[in-house]
Amino acid sequence: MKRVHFNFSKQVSRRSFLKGTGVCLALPALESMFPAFASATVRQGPQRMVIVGNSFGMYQPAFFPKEVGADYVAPELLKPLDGLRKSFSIFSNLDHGITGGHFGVHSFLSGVLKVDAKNMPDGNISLDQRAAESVGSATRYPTLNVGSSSGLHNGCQMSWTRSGVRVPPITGPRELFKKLFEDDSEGGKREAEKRSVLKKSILDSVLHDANTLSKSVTSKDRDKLDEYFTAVRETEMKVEQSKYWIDVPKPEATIEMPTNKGIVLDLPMLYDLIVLALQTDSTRIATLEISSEDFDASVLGVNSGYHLTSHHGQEESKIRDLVKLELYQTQNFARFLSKLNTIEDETSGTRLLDDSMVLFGSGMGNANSHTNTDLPIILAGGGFKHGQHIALPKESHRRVPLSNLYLSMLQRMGIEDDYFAHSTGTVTQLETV
Amino acid sequence: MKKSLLVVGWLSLLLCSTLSATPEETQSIGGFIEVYCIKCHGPEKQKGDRRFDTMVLPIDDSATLIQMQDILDILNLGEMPPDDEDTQPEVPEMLAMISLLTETIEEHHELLRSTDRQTVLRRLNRREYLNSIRDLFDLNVSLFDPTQSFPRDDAEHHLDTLGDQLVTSSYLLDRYVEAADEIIEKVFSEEERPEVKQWHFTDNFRNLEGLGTTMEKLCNYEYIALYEVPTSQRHEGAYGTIHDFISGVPHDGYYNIRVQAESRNRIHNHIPRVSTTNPNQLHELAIVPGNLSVGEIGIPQRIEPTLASFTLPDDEIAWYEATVWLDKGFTPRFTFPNGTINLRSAFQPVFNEIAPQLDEELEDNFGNRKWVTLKYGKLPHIRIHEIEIEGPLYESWPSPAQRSVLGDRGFSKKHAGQLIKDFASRAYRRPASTEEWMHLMQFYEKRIVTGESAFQAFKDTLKRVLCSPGFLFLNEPADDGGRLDDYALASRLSYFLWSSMPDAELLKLASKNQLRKSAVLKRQLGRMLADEKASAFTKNFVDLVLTLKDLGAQPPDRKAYQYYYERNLQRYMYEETYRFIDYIRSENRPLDELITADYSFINEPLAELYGYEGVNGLALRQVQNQDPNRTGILGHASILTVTANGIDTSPVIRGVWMLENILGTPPSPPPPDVEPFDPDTRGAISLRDQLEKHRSNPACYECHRKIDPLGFALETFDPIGRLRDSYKDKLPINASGKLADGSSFSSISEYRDILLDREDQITRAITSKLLSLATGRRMEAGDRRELDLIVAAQRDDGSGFKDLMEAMVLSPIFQTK
Repeated sequence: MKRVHFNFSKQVSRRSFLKGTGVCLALPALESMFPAFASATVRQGPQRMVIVGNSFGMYQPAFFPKEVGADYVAPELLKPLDGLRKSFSIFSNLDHGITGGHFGVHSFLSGVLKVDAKNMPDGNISLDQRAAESVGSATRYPTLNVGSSSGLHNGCQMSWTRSGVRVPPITGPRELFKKLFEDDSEGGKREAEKRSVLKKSILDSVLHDANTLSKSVTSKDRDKLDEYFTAVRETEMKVEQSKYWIDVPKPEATIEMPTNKGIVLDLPMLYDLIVLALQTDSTRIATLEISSEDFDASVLGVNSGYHLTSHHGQEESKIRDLVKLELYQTQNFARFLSKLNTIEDETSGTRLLDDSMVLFGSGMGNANSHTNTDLPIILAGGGFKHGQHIALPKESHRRVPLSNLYLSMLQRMGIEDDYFAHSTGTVTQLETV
Repeated sequence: MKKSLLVVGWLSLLLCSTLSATPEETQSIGGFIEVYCIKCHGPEKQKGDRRFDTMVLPIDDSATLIQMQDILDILNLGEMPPDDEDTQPEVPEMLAMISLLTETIEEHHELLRSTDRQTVLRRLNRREYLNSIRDLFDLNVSLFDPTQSFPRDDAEHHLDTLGDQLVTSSYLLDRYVEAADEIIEKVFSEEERPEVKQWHFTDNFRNLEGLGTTMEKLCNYEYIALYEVPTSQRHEGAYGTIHDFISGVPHDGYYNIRVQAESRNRIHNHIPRVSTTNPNQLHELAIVPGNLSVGEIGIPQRIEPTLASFTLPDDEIAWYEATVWLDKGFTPRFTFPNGTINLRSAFQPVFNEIAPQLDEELEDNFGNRKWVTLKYGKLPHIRIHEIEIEGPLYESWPSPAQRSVLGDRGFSKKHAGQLIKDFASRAYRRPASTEEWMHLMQFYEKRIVTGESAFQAFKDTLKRVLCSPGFLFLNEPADDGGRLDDYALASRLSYFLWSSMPDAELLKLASKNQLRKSAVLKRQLGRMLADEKASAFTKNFVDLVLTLKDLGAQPPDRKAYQYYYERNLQRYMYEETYRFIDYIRSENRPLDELITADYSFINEPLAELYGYEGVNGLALRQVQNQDPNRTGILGHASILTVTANGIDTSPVIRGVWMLENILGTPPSPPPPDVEPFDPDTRGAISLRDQLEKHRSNPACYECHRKIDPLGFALETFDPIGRLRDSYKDKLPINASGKLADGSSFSSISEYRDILLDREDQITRAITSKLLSLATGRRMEAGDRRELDLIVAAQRDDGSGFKDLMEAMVLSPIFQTK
């Protein structure tokens, strides 16, 4: 399929572009953007998205149910979730058709390896960042990316911008807490305002230099310079957006400021803070990355490191240890889902989980053989009909790309795209309530 | 560029001849498809919606490319032609087709990546940005890194200078603006010369981490005790901090630090659980910086260069002194680089031994075990009794950084215009044009109108310069023949050798159009390589060509390879290779010593790892090899560690590394969907046999026959580069192999001989990588002739690395856009 890629930088003047975003800024909330899903009987809050990923996958025999459909027997790793069975779906035979082992893990949410990004119309933009583009400045943070920023080969590297830059996660609960609840001082706010004025005038002014340069360079160079022009415009827009939030007070914290104890012990707190972030509408899109950095497996009674354990070499004791480390993750995920399932959105009166698509997975299929196929994928909430183990076709020529699921999610978000990465459509087995 | 079917056919013939003869008509892609595929995927039937008879060869659009890839994938899987089909290709015929398709597709991808042998306008990468800031402002950046929050630069095969790969995103641009602000405000943070102060500390040495209140009981915090090596896991007694100086120095500058210290119990015969220090080695005391505002002070921090180190004699209280640079907010911390790995593991055994001998009856609990061990255990450690600090010490004022911008006159409104023009011209590495200057002055005036003072407006204008494409991008104007102008040449030279901007001398030569003269260029090359800034070149060679940038990305397992952490080996491994390459470069040694050198640069921890005798202490020095297995860099622990995954070794990973980095022929990525290699380490069959099985799959064979043998010889070394003759499960190592060209070897030394026969190939691979780094573009087929000329010159007797550098810099590849 051929796609046309419009280069807006050519046709639209910078001024009119900014004016356009000004309109968007004035919108108090984005409910109005989802008329297609609003109905007289079903009340609905703003649509949200949470994505949880890890770098070493899930031990497949303990993750995928043997049975297909609603009457599956939950394997060990899914047992903690069994009480919420009706609220999530589990998918098998989904992946991006990518190889690379640890070096492929970063494609989990983008469906595209970073080296191939430049041949793609949207680069290797990840699901969360694509979704964030539609939320814009309706919330203080378009996305909150949380979790391990590093680890083996730099960790999960889940979130990528349109221009191929990794969005680094906020690493500890303490930093996340501050971001959510701590207001700047009055002086700090004025300082921030002054800085944004300076930033804007610098950005305005450097465009002159770029224009001068543009006249004297080759056409390939000019394409490169276009990147700079685009970056200037996008930054101006972001400065404008964040300026709006300077004087809006942050919500009051309902918990004490936590301390950082490493990803294993912090995991419940990170989940709790994400719940609070959604509840206070500080963001509508959050990601959580779990990698081997500061992953103290001994807390869970495993004496070797996470990476070493994942290289189980079919040794039984190592497999048992690996499942222990993974079980802890599904337990905490289950706890998170139940919280979302009990909390009501104050404005719409619906439960948070009903309006939150929660994806759980990994860019690694089998850590022992370093494959990026048959990824462990769970989708919960978001107003979809759940409760099934959906097994997609296994045969190589009938496989469904994982990007199809992402496209389903984006459309649910109200984004009218008809493709994401290498998608061939949406996941037809997934229906909305 | 189109390749005729004839050429493709010839290529396949060549490939097939190494296997076995196949029917002539199916040797070309077209022929193969005609015979085996068209019946079901042609004009009559289009099974699976696929039709190949309309496909145009050679590939010239992406639709055809996708179809080709499709065919290749399905052949790799062995799914087509279907089993029940009568006409089936023979195995060799199939293999030949798979490799032909793989190669054809790869060639097409290469074409897609091509930049027509031209450098695409490239921005500075992170390291170049930081170095440029250092030189632009004459600023000490040892503890200052405004690029910390920059996104990682995109690299291709570790090359981080490729213009088309280096993206400028809004995220990065935002960081540029922030960094500019941070840099300029730092440079001008002190208006007056800061007063020199003295501090004196004699007590209240509360260790924040680890030893805690036990030290109160032991000595009422009257001394700092250091036990563990900084690479320990818990850092108990690893970082000695000055409790009353924890928020660091008040100003940037040089500080004189005097420490009164003492080494205790160096000679010991403890079991390793009690202490892992080497009793034959004098204790070392080091000073590293720490910053409370970036994180905990008792554990390693991201910015932690060794500022000074001292070798301590036994049991003698003495003063040690060093003058070190500290940025505002940094406090000196003390470490014990050859301390023990795990203080805590000593508590129980020491308590068990000593407690019964004490008069007092002590309960066996953690606090008592710890106290008894520290008090009576005679553990090797260092004590610091007194510390004096004085500074900041400036030779002159204004600071060098302020003088670099303002000159001797300082700032005045009257000269603002000239100062801005001069600064921009240095930042842009060429004279700023009148138009550029005009825009800068407009910005300056506007800031004044906004209500800023003239000096603040001036500073803001400097920030504005640092965000301009003039500074951030290496613009390379060229004449009609593609030859770079002198300023562009000056930048290319300085970013190649120094990873930084040209200095005044280079710019002066450029302004007179002198630099392009070969004699001048050669002289400048010599001068620049002799400058200490050329250490950046060595570092790039080690990091990017030899990929040691990745050392530590897959750290060895702490339990299985404790020795690595006990001796802080990662640091010394890196230093060994760094010193080796620096020697080759500065002493003009021939490049083949990468493979053949019978010397290296090691210290005692590495000597222990290598099984060498007579190398004492932590300082690295040139040593004659004592083990022929260690010949050249393939015997360096750094290379053997970076090519393992920290857990076990894989001939595949090491083989791929050899192909990519030494031989310059990177293999294609594995085809999708084929049964992956799933290692089984339970010990029944060796990895080698498992790979053998993997290779028996035709889809895997084509590449793995090239990859695996190159890795087999290196199996002699474990994941941290120790020699071994069997695996953990006791299966013996077999280091023999047969390369794809048929040459076989039975040991690593025979393997090196084979590599040496490929000297030209290795020189070409390295030259090609270096030229890519220098020019910011990939070397393409059209560059081959020039590359070969450079390589040929290296063959001359007595020709060394410097000569290679000279040939590169004088080549048209280097001097054209």
